[in-house]
Amino acid sequence: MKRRNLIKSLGLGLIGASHFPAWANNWSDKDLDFNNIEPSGVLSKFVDVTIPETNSPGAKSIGAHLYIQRILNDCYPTNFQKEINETAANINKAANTRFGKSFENLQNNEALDIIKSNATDTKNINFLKNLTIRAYTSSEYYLTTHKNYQMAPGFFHGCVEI
Amino acid sequence: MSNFNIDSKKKRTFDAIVIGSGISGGWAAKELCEKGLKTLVLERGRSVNHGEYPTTMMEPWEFDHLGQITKEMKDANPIASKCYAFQEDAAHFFVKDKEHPYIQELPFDWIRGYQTGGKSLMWARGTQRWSKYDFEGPERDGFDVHWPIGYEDLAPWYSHVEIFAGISGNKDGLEQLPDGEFLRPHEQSCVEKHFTDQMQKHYNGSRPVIIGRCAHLTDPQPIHYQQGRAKCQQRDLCQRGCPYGGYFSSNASTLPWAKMTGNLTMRNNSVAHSIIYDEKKQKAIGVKVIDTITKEEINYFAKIIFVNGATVNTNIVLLNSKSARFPNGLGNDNGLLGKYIHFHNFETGISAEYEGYLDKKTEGIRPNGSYIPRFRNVKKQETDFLRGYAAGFSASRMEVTNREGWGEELKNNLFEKKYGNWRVGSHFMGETIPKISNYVKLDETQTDDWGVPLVRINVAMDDNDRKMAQDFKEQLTEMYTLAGFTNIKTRERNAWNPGLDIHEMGGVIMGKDPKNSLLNEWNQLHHCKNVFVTDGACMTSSSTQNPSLTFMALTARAANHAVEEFRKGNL
Repeated sequence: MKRRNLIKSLGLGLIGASHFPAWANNWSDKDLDFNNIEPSGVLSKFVDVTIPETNSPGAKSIGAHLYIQRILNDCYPTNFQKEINETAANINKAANTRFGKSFENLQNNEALDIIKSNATDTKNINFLKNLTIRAYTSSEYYLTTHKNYQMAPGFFHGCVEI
Repeated sequence: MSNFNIDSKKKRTFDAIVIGSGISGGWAAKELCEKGLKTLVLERGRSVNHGEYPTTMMEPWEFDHLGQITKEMKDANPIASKCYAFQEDAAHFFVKDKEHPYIQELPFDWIRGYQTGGKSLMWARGTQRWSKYDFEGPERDGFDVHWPIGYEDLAPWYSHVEIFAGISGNKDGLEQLPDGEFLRPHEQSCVEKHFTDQMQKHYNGSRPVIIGRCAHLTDPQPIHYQQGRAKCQQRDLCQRGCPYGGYFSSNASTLPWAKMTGNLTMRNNSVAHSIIYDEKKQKAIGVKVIDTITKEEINYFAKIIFVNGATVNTNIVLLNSKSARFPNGLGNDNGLLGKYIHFHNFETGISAEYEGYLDKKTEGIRPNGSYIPRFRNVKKQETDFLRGYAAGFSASRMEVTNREGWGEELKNNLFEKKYGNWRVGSHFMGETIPKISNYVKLDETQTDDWGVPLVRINVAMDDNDRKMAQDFKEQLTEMYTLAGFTNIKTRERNAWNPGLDIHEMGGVIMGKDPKNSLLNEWNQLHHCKNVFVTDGACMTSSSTQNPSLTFMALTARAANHAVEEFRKGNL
């Protein structure tokens, strides 16, 4: 329940709690103790094929699946969590039917096929895709390598050439 | 034992007591302490010393939910979570709905910050002077109550607070928005400049668009370094508290300054229950305080009392200060205490795109925007509604995230550097008319955890507000069209209620006549002259400027008058 306590202390703004762990480094499966869709491995496979590892880090190595699990648990109502769990189950079922393997054991191209050919859970699949993008584009890797992110630029120029 | 009591009372006796440590209370403390008065500041919330900002150095990826508020937090705070700044990085500075209940006779989104510095930690930092047209407005337009002071009375005090607080701005030479003592202005973006030029051309100078004036140290002076503050780093993470003191807050500026004099005593976790009135002396002699942790009741004594609890709480303290002389609340002979609550109407906005300047973008971060001063009914009545509105204006160009595709295709799309059109937008800040029917009062039976009656809030918008909002939409649409903007969309904020502007004012208003006002031209209660009210509660009208700078100037002016009167033995 470390995670719950952390949220609580942030919510109450307790002075002294000035350093919070970076989520990408500190999350582990044992923190995720309820409504957990990750034991099926669907989520980590999903983010891995959505934004794959190439010569640069992909969504799985920046921890997008852990972020999605956390945000689903903490920011969305139970009925929606259930819906997402069902979508994960449907994806797994389709993998078994078509390839005789669980989704997490598919080749990346097979897994992408399953996601793209799904006609019943489009809304939830798009939701998971958008959360994957959000996690990826908020990561330290993406912001510092691709966006020239600076917390304190110290300047503003109103009109510069692109 | 009796000696002990005398000693104890002596320890609880000061020259002045200031209720509240927010933007105006901090100024009262600074001025009083600087002039040598032993001053006690009572703050109902917990202590937040400058620098104790737990999230201030957190990177975006370090937040548990990347900034999003949890469902638990949102469900528990249907009102606080309507505030734009109630997010994962700053929610700890906002009052939680359940902890401090109030009664809404009509919907009112009351946003509060109970800690050292109050809302000065999370404010939006817009700082514009009022002009003579603003002070003269209520008289010209036949409001019930007129200002007892004019621009000339406040101008030197605007300068006084601007120099110390550090206000960034451009000297625009506008009669309707007087220049101040400015630090280097921020730069307008290309499209903001374009809009300024187009408006100049089409309206012949009658609708200026300027860079915003804001409480940021763009070019810190020795007086700011002496406060321990440094140049604004342009992070625009201000609502978390600024470790550099780059923007003005009580925490970074006035309170440490007051402390350096050796005359400040700060007492946190101290709810001001009521002001103690002495029937024989015919003046206030102190404040009854409830310690929020021990629930102990303690009286503190002083010759001068400044009430700076923020508008609604200041009203509560005075309404709850009942005595034989003032059975309906301190200074409330006319029954108008708590009435004439007003605010700024923010219920609409507008956005659009601009397809020009596609070879240009902005770079860096600017904690500010451009500003459209009031142009309606400035010098004479021109429309079918009274008064007018100011508006923000900002134009920026973001990189667009291409979310198309899956797998490597998507990844490549995310790495692509591509800019969309310029996006422009304005928010509406409409003056509302102070009315006797907009009031706060105390509930007769229910109290809070500290025995203070719950407040009942009854504040409504009216036809004038709706007509004005409609005019904003029409005029801004015309202005945007003339500037060549496309995809113009006006926005209704249906969930918006008065209060969410966080500019609530009135209830203890200044006026010339004790028959229809509570305070005189020095912010003293007409009928209890050693009690001063200088926060939003004192405002006779709201005009259209962001109000905090005026609260600061009124406070500094009143505090210096209080010191003079104190020295003469008049208080």
